[in-house]
Parts: sequence; C-alpha cells; structure tokens
Amino acid sequence: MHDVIWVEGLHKTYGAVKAVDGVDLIVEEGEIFGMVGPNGAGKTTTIECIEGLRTPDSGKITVLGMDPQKQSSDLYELIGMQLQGSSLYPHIKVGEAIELFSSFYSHPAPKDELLERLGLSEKENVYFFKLSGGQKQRLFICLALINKPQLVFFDELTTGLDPQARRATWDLVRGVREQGHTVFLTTHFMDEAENLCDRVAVMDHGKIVALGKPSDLIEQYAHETRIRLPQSLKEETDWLSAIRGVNSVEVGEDFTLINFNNENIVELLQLLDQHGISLKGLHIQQSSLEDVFLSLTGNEMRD
Amino acid sequence: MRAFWNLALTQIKIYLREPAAAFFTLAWAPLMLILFGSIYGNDPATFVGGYGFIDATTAAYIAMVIDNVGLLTIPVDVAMKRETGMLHRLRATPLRSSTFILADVLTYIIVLMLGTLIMCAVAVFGFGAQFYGNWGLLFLAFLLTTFAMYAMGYLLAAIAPSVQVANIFGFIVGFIMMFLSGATIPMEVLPPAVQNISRFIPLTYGVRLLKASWLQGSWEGEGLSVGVLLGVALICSALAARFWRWE
Repeated sequence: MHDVIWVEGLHKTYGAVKAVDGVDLIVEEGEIFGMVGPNGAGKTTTIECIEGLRTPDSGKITVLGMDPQKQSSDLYELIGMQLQGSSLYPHIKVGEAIELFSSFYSHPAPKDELLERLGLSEKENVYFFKLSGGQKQRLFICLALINKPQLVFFDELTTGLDPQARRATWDLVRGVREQGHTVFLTTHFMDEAENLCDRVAVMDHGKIVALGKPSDLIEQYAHETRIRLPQSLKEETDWLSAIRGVNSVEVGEDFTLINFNNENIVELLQLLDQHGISLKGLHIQQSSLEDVFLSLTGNEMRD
Repeated sequence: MRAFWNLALTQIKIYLREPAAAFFTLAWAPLMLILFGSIYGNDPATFVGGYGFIDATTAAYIAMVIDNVGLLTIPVDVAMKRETGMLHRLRATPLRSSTFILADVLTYIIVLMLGTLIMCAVAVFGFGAQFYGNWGLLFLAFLLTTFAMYAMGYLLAAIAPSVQVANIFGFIVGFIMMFLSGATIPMEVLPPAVQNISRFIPLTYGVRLLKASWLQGSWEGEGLSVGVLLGVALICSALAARFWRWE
C-alpha cells in the first residue's frame, strides 16, 4: 500500500480570509477518503489545490508522485475530477460531450461502455440542458472516469440530488473503488461520509480538526448514546442521574431522555427494569458522524 | 491536434444550434441586404460613392457580420463559458490553455466565414453584385478586421465581471460600431459631425479596407486603416491575455 496523495502544511489565503490554514493529510491507495465540514470550511480550496487547479500559498503536495501545480498535464492523464460548480455547453449532446472529452486523453475508455455503466445510454442524443440534476451529475462522473483514472476526485457530488439519486450515486462511487481506483471526496452530508468513506477528515476554519475511520471518530468524539422513553420520569431523576455512565437526564411532559456512555447500556436497561419502569416504546439513538461533526464544529448557523 | 479539431468542430455545431447566435451570424446580414437591395437595386448611387448600391454595400456588410460575431456574440458567449464553469471543467483535463484559445477563435472564424459566404451568395446570385477588386486583398482585409474585432470582443469578455455585463459591453460597442462605421449606413450619408466621430471607431477602418479591396482591388492610401486595425488587434489581444480569467 502506498500513498496516493500526500499533503503537508497546506496554506491558502484569499485577502484576509485563511481558507486553508495548515492542512496535512495522506490518502492511501484503494481507499475512499472523505473530507467533511460546514460550508466555507475550506474543503473545495483544499481539493482544488490537490488537483492543481489552484496554487497554494505554501505547503507541499504530491499526487501519484507528481507536483500537481507543475505537472498538471501529465497528472491529468491519470486522475479524474468532478468539480463543484462546473457545467457544459447547454446545446452539447451527452454523446458529443463524452467524445469531446475523450479526445483530450491518450487512452480514453470506450464511449458505449461509459454510457452503459452510468446508465446514460438512452440519453446519448439528449442536450445537456435537458438533463435532470441527477443525469447531469452522472455525466460529470462519466467525464471524471473517461481516462480510466487511478485516482478520482468528487467535490460535493450529491449536493442538490434527491434521496434516490444520492443512494444511486453512492453505489457508483463504491463501484469506482471496486475497480481499484482511489477516491477523494468532499461532502457536507454526514450520513454520506459515514456510509461511503473508509476514512474521514473533519475540516473547520481551514484546519483538519479530526481524522480517522468514521466508527473511531464516533467512539472518540461522540460516545454518548441517548435513550428516549415515552413517559415522564420526573420523580426518578435523582437516582437515574446517579447511575454510573449516565451523563444527563432530561424530563419533559410525556418523555424522558437519558444520555449515557455507550458501554453501560445493558446495565442501564436492567436497572430501569428492576425499578419497574416500562421499556415499552423505548428508542435508542446511536451517535453518528453528525454528532461528531456538531461536537467538533459547534451548532451555530454559518453562512 | 485531435483535441484541437474536436473542440473546434463541436463548438461550431453547438454555436449553430443556438438560435439567436445562428440567426445574427448567418441570417441578419443577408436579410438586411435583401431589404435594402429590394429598395435600391444595384444601380450606381451617389450615396455610396458612385458605385452600384449592392456592390458597395456587400463589402461594407462583411464588416457588419464581423461586428456581429466579434462584439455581439463573442463577449457574452465567452463570458458564459467562464461563468457556467465550462472553462473550469476544460482546465481539469490535459487540454492545453493555448489549444483551447486557438480552437475557440477558430470556432468563431468558421461561423463568421459561413455567415459571410451566405451574405455574398445572396448579393451575387440575388442582386448581381459585381466584384471589381482583388480576392487576396479582400481575404487579408477580412482577416485583419476580424483580428481587430475579435481581440476587442475577447477583451470585453475578459474584463466583464458577469455575462450580463459582457452582454451590455458587447451591445454598446457593437451597435455603436455597426451604425457609425459605415458598415450598415453608408459613410457618405452620415452628417459631417457624425463622420468626425466615425474616425475614432476602429471598425470604420475595417469598412474602408474591405471596400477598397472589393471595389478598387488596391490598398493605396489605406496605410492608416491597416495601422489602426493592426494596432487595435495587438493592443486588445495583449490586454485580453492580461485580464483573462478561467473562472
């Protein structure tokens, strides 16, 4: 296993804004690496510096052993990119777009194979502007895979797609990895990162604030589980709060929320049962990457 | 080379599919010619310097077609490719920047040639336009005028912050040049005060050079025209390159 992407001390400033403020990361061959963070966290700037589309102020980047800023033409033969906020000529047909982009590469994949793989065979003669959001996105994935790349970048791939199209796109991304390609993606959907990525970097204010497997991050930053009971346990709060592992108890008119550490779940349920509290309608909410994200980046609204 | 030709051919196809651009490039000048040709015919007229109306007008209308593509189409079209992120997408391929620019310019030259040929065909076959000049000089005048107008068009696209602004820039510059250069209304009928303004309009020199090539077959006394067109072409190209943005 060797490093496909290697970034050290990446900085990029726009005016007074530190868009990327010291990012280090390594992406290994064959993994799906995700970068999550709120809008404006610096994800796109980071990915576009790695792709060689932007020039960093400082820092070292190596992609497939090359310098993306200086060897972009050679590198672009080997990598595929789906960019945020890009488009095609409104009046280009799907098939023409694939033929056009194929002509930019030395060893393009056959057009029909690509169309079929992305489910666009029937759209070959349709104008770009007539495609739905999901179809456009599939065409962009097509263009990203046209040169049979070793490494593929997806920037906010599923933004604006409906839930079905999102799931279908996830399958496409998994398919890309199964073919042996490495995937680097950014997203602001936590469930997407949790479902899709082998490793995730959480980015905020231009810095990576956490990096690891989704399950490890949840373990480390959001080890709380929450139990919801559909009854008010106002009288019981004192002893409930005293149970080992329980962090807090919230009681409402007709519900009770108990926040506790993951490992104590069996013990807690036994105690509830012993005290004659009905477990009917009990709902256990496991922590997700979303909780990691919120605990690391805060809850406030951002622009 | 494959990328270059593929890009140019694809862009030509796409250009001609876009109704407004296709209409103004291919149909506008022939329609004007048919309209005014039906009114004046091709008899010698004093208001076009004693030449046949159609003979003199066809040469001037070549400048009109160039202006149409160069200023009314290129700024908004190029700004659109930038604003929609198309240029950004093309940059994320091994395609070289210079290949893109050359293919882009070739696209607009080919559609311009199509428009010019259709207009000339209407003049010759529809109204019996006569050619008194030199084909080589006419082609050179065509290229020189195109070079100057396209450079202005790309410069406007480069400095415009948005498609709308590019559109406004193109309309202002394009229509002023179209009507005050002699490309649409013969210079001879413009009032002297307006003729004075025309001297500061680059396309005026394109019209002069095209008419001299078509009607006399000689560039004698047109040194200023060649100089102005070449100067505008080089300065605007340099500025366009300086202010060019890919996104």
